[in-house]
Amino acid sequence: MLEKFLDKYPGMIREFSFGANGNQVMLGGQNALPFHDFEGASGKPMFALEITDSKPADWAGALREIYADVEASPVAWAQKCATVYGADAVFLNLDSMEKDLSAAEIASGVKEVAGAISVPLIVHGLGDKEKDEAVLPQVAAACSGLGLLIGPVLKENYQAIAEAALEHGHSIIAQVPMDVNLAKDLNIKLGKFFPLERVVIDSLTSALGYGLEYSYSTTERIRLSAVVHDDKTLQTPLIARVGREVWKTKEALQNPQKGILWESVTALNLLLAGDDIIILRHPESLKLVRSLL
Amino acid sequence: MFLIGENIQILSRLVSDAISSTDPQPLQTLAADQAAAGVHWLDLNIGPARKKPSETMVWLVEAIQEVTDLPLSLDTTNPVAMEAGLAICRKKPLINSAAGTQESKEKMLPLAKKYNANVVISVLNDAGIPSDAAARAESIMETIDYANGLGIPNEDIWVDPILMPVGVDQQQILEVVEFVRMLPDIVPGVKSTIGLSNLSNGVPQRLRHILNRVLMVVLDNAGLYSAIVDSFDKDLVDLNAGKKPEIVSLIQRVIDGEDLKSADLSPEERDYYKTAKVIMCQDIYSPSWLEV
Repeated sequence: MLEKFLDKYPGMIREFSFGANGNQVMLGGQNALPFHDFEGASGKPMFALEITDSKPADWAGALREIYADVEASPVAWAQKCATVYGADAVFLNLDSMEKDLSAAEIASGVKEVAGAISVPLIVHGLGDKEKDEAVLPQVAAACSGLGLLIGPVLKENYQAIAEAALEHGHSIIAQVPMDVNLAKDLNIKLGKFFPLERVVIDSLTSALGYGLEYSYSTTERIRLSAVVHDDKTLQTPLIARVGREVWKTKEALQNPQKGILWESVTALNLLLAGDDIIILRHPESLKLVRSLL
Repeated sequence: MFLIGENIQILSRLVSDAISSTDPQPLQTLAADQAAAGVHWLDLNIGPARKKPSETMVWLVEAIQEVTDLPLSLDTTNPVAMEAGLAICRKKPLINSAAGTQESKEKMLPLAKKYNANVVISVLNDAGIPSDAAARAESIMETIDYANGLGIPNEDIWVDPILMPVGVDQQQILEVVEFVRMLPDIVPGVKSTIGLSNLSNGVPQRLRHILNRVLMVVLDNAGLYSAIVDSFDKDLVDLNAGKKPEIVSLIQRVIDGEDLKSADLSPEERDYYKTAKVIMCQDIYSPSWLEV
């Protein structure tokens, strides 16, 4: 009887894993919508805490207090996120690219962090197409075999970064500006030489009260296209950089407690819409969202 | 369906230069070329015409009527320019366009009655563009009721469902098609038209035409009376003239939900097939839809 009310969907998200040396995590494999466990495999989200490879001068005071003991050392910071706070992965911002540092130095810093933690590492450039194109391939090469998730890969620079990631065994984040059509377009272009099993889509995130409905709607459309309409080009996991958006809102800056709620509610909404990898900044948010699930 | 050539329009550099320097020759050439291409009406789009609205429209209409007998669609948001043009058209013209907004009801619609003209009435109203077929129907019924009250008969009304670019909201295409299909039932006797090229706004230039063409065939199938089109898209004009029946029947099969094997199709047919899948929302649009 119950079966009458349940839907079966034709599409399935590709199995996706990253990390290396026994610290791999698996994602994907969903053939149902988020939290529709009664209809199939709905997936289990993963949570990463965000750090940066140079002093986080522009971070909220409340966050800097928490990480004060480790903010000068990306290695120690990453370890704290993984072991003390239990993040599933660490998300490393390469803010040092803003400084006068060589690509080789930046890349060796990434390698050190990757080697010091027992969870997978996500590495993120500035989103500046020239700078990222100059540095990220070098990071890929220096960390060959470490199974990083590297981004952002844009329609303007996907070729160089994706080729390096392919050669050195990494996965990539395909980033598009809140648009299902452009997400599909970039994946089609990537799919010509890069396995979509190693692609995650970032359709850009906005915080609650700052345009969350747009990112919700884009994320939802991508996931519906993949699962319900069986669009093969969009059957990849989705990533949302929640923390960086939330911790620049005035609500979070004025009141850290509110910031934690803000970050958690934004994350929860995006999980409902279909995001698989959630990037947070505050460890309390991580705890709260996990407890809500 | 009747084709209204869109190529005399103010956003074109050639056209705006010719108008501002009152040089009729390039515009007359454009008109003659469009007529030769096989369209049935000519749209004269002068935009809002803030400077010398009457003089500009009169000058343009006279210049175009010197070189062609095709009926004219006068395309301006300025009622003063519109009225001046309507007064001197030799053939029953088309007002492009009126809508359900208060301003349009007061200033544009009465001109259709006064000059016994055809008039495009869009589904736009003061609340904006309706979101689906039913909301379009509701809006247009109200505006047509108002127009009938002014003494404008349904036969003179060309309903415009308003088409959004595919990259903005793909699903809207099906709402527009559905609305066109239901139109004869809700307001018997009205005609219809659409700004076809708006579909492919934002689409890479070399890919725009095939999208427009396929939607034209789909809308023709749904009963659309006319469309405002790029006169120089030869394949579009040919398709409409029945010169490519195999492509029309291919698109028809996609409308009917048939899945075809790409391998059995010629390269041209394959492109039309993939495009029809996008138009019918069976595939999600992306700018590289032909490469999949």
